[in-house]
Amino acid sequence: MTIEQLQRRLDREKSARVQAEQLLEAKSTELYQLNSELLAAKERLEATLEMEAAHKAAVVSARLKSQFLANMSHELRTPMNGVLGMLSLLQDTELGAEQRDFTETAKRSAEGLLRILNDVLDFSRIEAGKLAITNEEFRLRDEIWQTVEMFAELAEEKGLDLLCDIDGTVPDVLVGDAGRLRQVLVNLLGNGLKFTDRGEVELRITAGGAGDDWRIRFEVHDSGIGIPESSQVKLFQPFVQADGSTTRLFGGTGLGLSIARQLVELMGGEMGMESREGEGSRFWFTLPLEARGAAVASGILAGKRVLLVDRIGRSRAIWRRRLEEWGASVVAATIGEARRALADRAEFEVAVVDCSRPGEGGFELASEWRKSGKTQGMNLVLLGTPHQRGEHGDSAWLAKPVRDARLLSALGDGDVQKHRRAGSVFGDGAGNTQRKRVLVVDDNRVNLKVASEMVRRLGFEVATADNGLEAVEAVMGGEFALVLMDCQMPLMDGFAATAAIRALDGAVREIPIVAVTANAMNGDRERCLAAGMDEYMSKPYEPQRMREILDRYASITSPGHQRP
Amino acid sequence: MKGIVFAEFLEMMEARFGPAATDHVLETSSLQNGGAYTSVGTYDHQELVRMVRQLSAHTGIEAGSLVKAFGEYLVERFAAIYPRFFEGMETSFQFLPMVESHIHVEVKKLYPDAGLPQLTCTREGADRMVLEYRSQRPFADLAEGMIAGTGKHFGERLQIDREELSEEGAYATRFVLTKLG
Repeated sequence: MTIEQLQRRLDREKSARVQAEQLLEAKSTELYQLNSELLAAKERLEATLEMEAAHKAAVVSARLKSQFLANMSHELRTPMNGVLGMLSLLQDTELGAEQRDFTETAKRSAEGLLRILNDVLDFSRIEAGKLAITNEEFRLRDEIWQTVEMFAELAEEKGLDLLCDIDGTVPDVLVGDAGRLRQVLVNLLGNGLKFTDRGEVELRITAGGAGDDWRIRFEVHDSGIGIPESSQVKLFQPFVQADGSTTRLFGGTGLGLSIARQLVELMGGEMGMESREGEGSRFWFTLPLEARGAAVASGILAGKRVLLVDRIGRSRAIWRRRLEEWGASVVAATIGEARRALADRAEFEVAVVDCSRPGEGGFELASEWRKSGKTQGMNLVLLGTPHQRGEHGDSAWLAKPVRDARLLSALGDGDVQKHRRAGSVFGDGAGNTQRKRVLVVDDNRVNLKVASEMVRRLGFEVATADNGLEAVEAVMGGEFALVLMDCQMPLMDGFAATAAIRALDGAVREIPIVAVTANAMNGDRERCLAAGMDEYMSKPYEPQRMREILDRYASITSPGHQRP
Repeated sequence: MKGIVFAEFLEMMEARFGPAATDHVLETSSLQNGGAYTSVGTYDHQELVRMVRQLSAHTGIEAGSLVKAFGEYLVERFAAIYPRFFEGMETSFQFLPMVESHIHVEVKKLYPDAGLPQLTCTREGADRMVLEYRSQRPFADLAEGMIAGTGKHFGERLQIDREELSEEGAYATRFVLTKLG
């Protein structure tokens, strides 16, 4: 090769090297950039992992807090039950007006506190997914009216009309969770009354469906302050109220609606609302429920001519429809119209007159009729408020809101005196001459005292035991009509004690046992029944419920306990 | 076209025809970098076409034969530089389908912009395989040389029958390979 050729070859080699170096440089830069990106990605990934760990920790912490909240609420309920029970007993003693007022206020405050505790407890259970829905047969009208009647006094105090319209097509015997249904209704009715200052609050129940599967629709209408559109969306969120100032003005935890909606959803239904500020609100929910048996009997009043006198148009409309469903022919009238109608000729077998607003003429009209002999041979039924008890001559008297069954019965036999609200749930117990013995079992001294005193006031003799072992011994040794058995106790709990009693020889093992627990947890009832108990009662002791239980299992008039 | 092909072509040219002939070809082929190639670079394939033409003129050997010879040479070089592609391979009928399914895949990973030919192999019996070559570049001769080189590498006698296919937008050739004896 010549020098020139060698020189060119060298140049080419150099040039190739430069090219290679440039490529290397470019590739290195590219690699460096890619590596930087990888490092950044790695850091992001690590941050994500940290966040995930933090998130997990937060979830765990939230769950622990929920758990703590649930435990706290539960712990607080026990002393609250003592306070409420004692106040109930105190109210039933001789009290001066001032003392009565003080105890009433104390009881209302205690009930308010218990409601908040129950809300918090429910909320934390729903959050923890621990709230299960039961499926049991119940009578819809009984549940509804019991719930509506709870609000009668509040409505009267506020001067509101509380109406309830259960359509005749709604089946009465349904399968579902009556307790949770009541809870939702209490929330909606409570809100309705709370946020309404004049006018009315109405519960409307209608049904769609056929055969066994029904969708029942519940609506609570009020003529209250309404809810601005901007607040409607967050209304069902927990801890939120329509307006921050609402809390100061009306109180409440802001959990109620959130719980209500979640309960409805747990029961397979839907909940919603419509509202216009200043005009009122309508909250509704629907529930899919299985029906057992047909709707309420109709035609029961066939041929009866009824004069219906009510100052509230809506109320007239509701009762007119109900009466017509029962087969009556109805003339619905205002007080003025009624005066004229009856002046013509008395062609009615029954007149129902609304006297719930003093001074609006209902009561006067009835007195007038009675004096003039216009009601001779006519069954006159007066509707009043829970506080207008007293003498109404030979007229039957019913407190508004009136259960349709009660009105039906009043119209049917005219004897409504027995439907009057009792002045005291306890009475004096004097009628119960053949005193029966009830064994009350509870390890908590306050609870034991509350329950014993309630039972005593209902006319029974009481013996006590403070654990399951003592209870079994007492049952073996004495004659009892009933055992009220606490579930959680030291030495031997209520379940074990029940099992022991059921395993005894002879008739004594048949004794009715009613479980009493503050837990109110779902599945408790099933557990109690499975353990051989006959019935289940949750604390706090409600005088009304206690009376029902004693009536059913221990009263001298009850047919006696029969185990299946 | 990848620089390794150019670098190997220069190596072969120098080994077979001497440094002076190589210098001549490089000087007369009007190459962009004056004939300086690095195996990691990428160059216009037309430069290879021009070098082959100049070498053919200089040596009097037909261009097709030169390219085929280069193909055979290239297979041996690849076997030396990238032995892992030949590992576990015992016959060319085993190896050739792998070019498309494995080697080209690996090349694409390193050089995403590489314009590789497409090779489709169809086995038609124990001793017969049809290989279709498609490329944007006219290098069917190079492919034929490489097929022959593959046969040699595995110590086989391969008969290669070739048929040009007329296809729009690509150079396409069908090679029918028959194993002899």
